[in-house]
Amino acid sequence: MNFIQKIDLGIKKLQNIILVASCSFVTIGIGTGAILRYLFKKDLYGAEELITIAAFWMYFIGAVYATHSRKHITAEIFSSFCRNLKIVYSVKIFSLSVTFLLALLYSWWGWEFFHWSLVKGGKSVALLIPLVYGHSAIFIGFVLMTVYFFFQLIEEISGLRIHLKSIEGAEI
Amino acid sequence: MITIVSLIILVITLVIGIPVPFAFLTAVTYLIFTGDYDPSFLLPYGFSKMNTIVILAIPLFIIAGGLINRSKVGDKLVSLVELFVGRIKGGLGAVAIVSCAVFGSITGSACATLSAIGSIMFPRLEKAGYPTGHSAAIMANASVLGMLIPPSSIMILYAWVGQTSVLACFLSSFVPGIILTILMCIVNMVLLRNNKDLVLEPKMQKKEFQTQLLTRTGKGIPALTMPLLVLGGIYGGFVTPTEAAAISVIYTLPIGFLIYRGLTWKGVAETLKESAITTGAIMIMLYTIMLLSRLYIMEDLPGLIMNFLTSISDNKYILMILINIFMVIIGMLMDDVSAVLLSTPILLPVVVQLGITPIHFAAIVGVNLGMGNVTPPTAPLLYLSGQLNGAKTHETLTPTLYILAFAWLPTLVFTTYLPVLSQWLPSVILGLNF
Repeated sequence: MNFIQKIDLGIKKLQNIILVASCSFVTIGIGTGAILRYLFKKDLYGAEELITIAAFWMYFIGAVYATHSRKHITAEIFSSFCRNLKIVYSVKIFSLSVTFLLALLYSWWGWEFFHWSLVKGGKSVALLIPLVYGHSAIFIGFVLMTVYFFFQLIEEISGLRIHLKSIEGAEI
Repeated sequence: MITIVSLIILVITLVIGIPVPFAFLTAVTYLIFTGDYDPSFLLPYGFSKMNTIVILAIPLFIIAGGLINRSKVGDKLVSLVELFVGRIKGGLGAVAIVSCAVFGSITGSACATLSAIGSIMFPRLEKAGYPTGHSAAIMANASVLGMLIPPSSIMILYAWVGQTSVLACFLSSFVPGIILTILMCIVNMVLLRNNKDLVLEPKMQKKEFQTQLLTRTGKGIPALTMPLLVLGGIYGGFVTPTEAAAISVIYTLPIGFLIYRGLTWKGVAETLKESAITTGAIMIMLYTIMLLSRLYIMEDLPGLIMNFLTSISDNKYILMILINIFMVIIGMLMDDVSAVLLSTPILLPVVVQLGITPIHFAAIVGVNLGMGNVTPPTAPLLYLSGQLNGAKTHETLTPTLYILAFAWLPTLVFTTYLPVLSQWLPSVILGLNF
């Protein structure tokens, strides 16, 4: 296992932990809040602020995981109608390139948002938690999605090369 | 003009397979650069819209559905429903439809419903002599019923995007959902009326029926209690929809571990991870559609659509036909979540100007998008269903077309032109005046 694969594995493990922990925290937090309020007439002061931070990490790391496991929702119908594999691969590469460039652009805007939040961002009303904890999920989410889209783009380009070589081989 | 170009870009990016949230972002980016907007407002705006506890009902219902699915509760529900209609000709098809409706309302996922109930029903239907194409068609169509029978994730999304009551939206699609269930059962029975290969369940003695009723009800009750707990809690004013969703997750743990014995801690961790991934895929779409709908409102897209529609006709009923056709096409092209996220912010302001209430429109959206999801050529549920029971696509087409023509279409017409169907329950239970 090389260095990049080790890093990839480490990041995936960290993502797994964040996903399970944030899901559990949100469920237990809201469930406990409801039970305390209606059975014991008590309120978990400020719990919502913590829950929404966990929720943002769940949303964006979930989206990152959906990216590398290719589980993002698509409405792709082009490949169902086009039988020419060369065109299908080319369109796939084009769509992945657009997606990658967009993810890169939004990573940059995410960085600006994160930086602004770090320097000037406020705090939550009840528990005075810096808002940057929630905002940073958006930036990190877009950065990781950009990285995964880049690797998928490289995969598709090599897929097209192999396909072209196989066509050339068949013609010879 | 730039709005129309952005719509064209949106359609092209969707068709060529750019993931839906990034297709939305392509249109957003185009509008930002051509419309001279400052991009610095985008991400904070999305954050402020999503920074709410209300929307957490969606991941929590997804988790609860995932846990109940892993608890292997499907066969208990099927055997309970089978007791009532299993001995009528075509009754087993009706069992499949009603089971899908019940299971779909619990899990909120058409795919989970199709996989869970399909794995139980397909072998039984085959054994009873049902044509494979017919079985695949009724299961695919029935798996969508959970979208209409509360608690429905689609209705939560619609209510949140449309800034309307979740409770009223839940209730609005209930009656259309029941009508659709009944019509599907009737179409199924009519299609099979002359089929001589069907094997019927042997008739039970009264005493045996009573014993079976007690046993099967006892086994099905813990699962059936979940939607009742959720809906009772919400409509009784005890809990909010988000809290009800969290309680339903907590409720599924003891019944999954102790009663149905289908859950393991490893399974729970896997369900949490899978649910978070599904949630991530949905929430990133929600985030990006918030940005796009904001820009579309700034560009007055609803006004443009209204002008376009009124240039065709002034008649409200004709305009509703056009809107319905548009939504069925959207439902054919996209999955239910993407479709509701795209069509709600664009069409809701338009239909409100036509005198349709947001609650009435919730039911119209639900029926339309459900119908779109099973309408060929792009009907992923139909293909999945065919894959599950080995039916060829062409075998599923004829029964699907009958179900579309005699179950979906009448339900859509009734829901669109009889507002009482969607507004009656919200007015009776919530006291809303329309």
